[in-house]
Parts: sequence; structure tokens; C-alpha cells
Amino acid sequence: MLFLKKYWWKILTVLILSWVIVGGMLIEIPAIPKLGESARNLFYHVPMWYVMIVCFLISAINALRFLSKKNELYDAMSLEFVNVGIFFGCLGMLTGMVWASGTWGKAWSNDPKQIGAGLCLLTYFAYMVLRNSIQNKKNIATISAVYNVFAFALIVPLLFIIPARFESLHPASGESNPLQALYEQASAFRKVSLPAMLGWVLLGIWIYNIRIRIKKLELSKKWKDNQ
Amino acid sequence: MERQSINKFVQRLSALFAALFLPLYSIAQQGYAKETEMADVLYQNGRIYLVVFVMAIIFAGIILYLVRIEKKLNKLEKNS
Repeated sequence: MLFLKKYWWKILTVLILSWVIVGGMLIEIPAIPKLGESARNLFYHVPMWYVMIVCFLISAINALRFLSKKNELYDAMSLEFVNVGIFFGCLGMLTGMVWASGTWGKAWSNDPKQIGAGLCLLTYFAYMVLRNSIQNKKNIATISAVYNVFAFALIVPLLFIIPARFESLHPASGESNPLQALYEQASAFRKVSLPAMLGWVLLGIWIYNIRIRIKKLELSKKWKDNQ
Repeated sequence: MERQSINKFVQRLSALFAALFLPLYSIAQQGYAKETEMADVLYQNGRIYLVVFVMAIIFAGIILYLVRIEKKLNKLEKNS
């Protein structure tokens, strides 16, 4: 029972993602012009971005918690969520370019969403550069926490507001509601696309969980050495 | 004269080989067909099951890798 109590959400991750991989390949999907069977990438490419956004959101919340409580652990949590978010963002970018070269003809066609996502990733690359370029170790956490909050404030217009205002190759562009694409999705897709969202986000949190535990071990060693 | 006899010899030889190996070949084919019924299943629907299989293996590999890291971390956390 203790095992289940500790690992239930990891078991849930495996179950959901197994369904996403097998079901996502085998369910009948409605024909969509141009996309054809590649529409199944909805279950694999799109969730990468959900994972990235969730990671960056929790990271910004932890940056705020650090700024109010000044606890080093919150800074570590904020950093590790950015790490996982960047990883999944890069996966989303690469898979998106593969999918685009197959359906839109070019890997990069300066689509508003592509540019927004690219700028978003660059913003967080800059976060890592900033962290590693500060000499005074006492200031790293505070400065990067402030930057982190502004970075998240920036990605909201970059990913949701600006791409929605322009004509785009992505579905449901030019709509004021960023969730419009989800509403227009045929119900056949939702059998897999909704679990896929949750499953991939849980996998991202699993990887974060491993990273933060390593970080905690390092921090506790550091605190012992300082005493 | 000589060339004709050589030709006849080659003909007989190839007939012998055919008599010996064609039945073996067809038996081997039957055995092969029986052994690879699983492959027939994999070939249905434009061979999509092959992709599902590959992705399932990759996914299982990644999960096993994560679980192994978890175990190592658990050990480290107990020791510290």
C-alpha cells in the first residue's frame, strides 16, 4: 500500500501514455485535408508544448515564492522546472519542424506560432545564460527569479495572443480564443488527445521529480558542509 | 559431339537438382509460412502495427530507464 501511495501517479503516467501510444496509432480518425494520417501527431507533437507551458508556469510561481520567502529550495524548484520545460520545448520544436516539412512543404515558414515558440525558447535560453553568468553567487537566485517572472509574462502574448491575431498555418488561427482549436477538434481525436495532454504533462513532472531530488541531495550536502 | 554430351549432362544435372531441391524448397516455404503468422498480423493495415511495436519498445525502454534512476535515487536518499 505504501508503494501505491508513493507511486500511484507514476503508474498512472505509464497507463495513460501506453494508451496514447497504442490508441493514438490505431484509432480511426476523420480525414483532414493535407494532413491525412499525420494528424495523429496531435497526440505527440502538441502535448510537448503543453508540458513546456505547465513547467514554465510552475517555475514562475516558484520564482515568486522564492522572492517572498527567500528559501533556496524554491529557487532550485524554479530552475529545475525551467530545465524540463526547455527540454520539452526543444522536442516540440524539432517534432514541429519534421511535421511542417511533411505537410506545409518547409520546416520553417515564419508562421506566427513558430516565431512565437522560437522567441519563447530563446527567452528561456537567456535565463540559463543569465544564471550562469552572474559572478556573485548570493545574487543569482534573486535576479533569475525576477527575470523568470518577466519571462513568463512575455510568453503569454508570444504563444497565445500574438499568434491568434495573425493568419497562421496552424489550425483555428485568427480566432480570439486560444482554446478554439480544442473546441473545433473532432470528438474522435479527443479520446486520445485529452489523455495525451495529462499523460505527457505527468511524464514531465516525473522527470522534474527526479531532477529536484538530485538537487535536494546536493543542497543538503552543501548545507552540511557549511555548518 | 562433345558439346552435345556436355549439354545433356548439364540438363540431367539440373533436372536432378530440381527434383531434389524444389520439394525441399516448397516444404521450407510451408514451414516458413507457418512460423511467421505473427508477421502476417504485423503486415495488416499498411504495417502500422510495426510502428506501434517499435514505439511501445522505445516507451518501455524510457520508463525502465526512469525506474532505474528512481531506484538509485531512493538508495542515495536513504543513505544521506
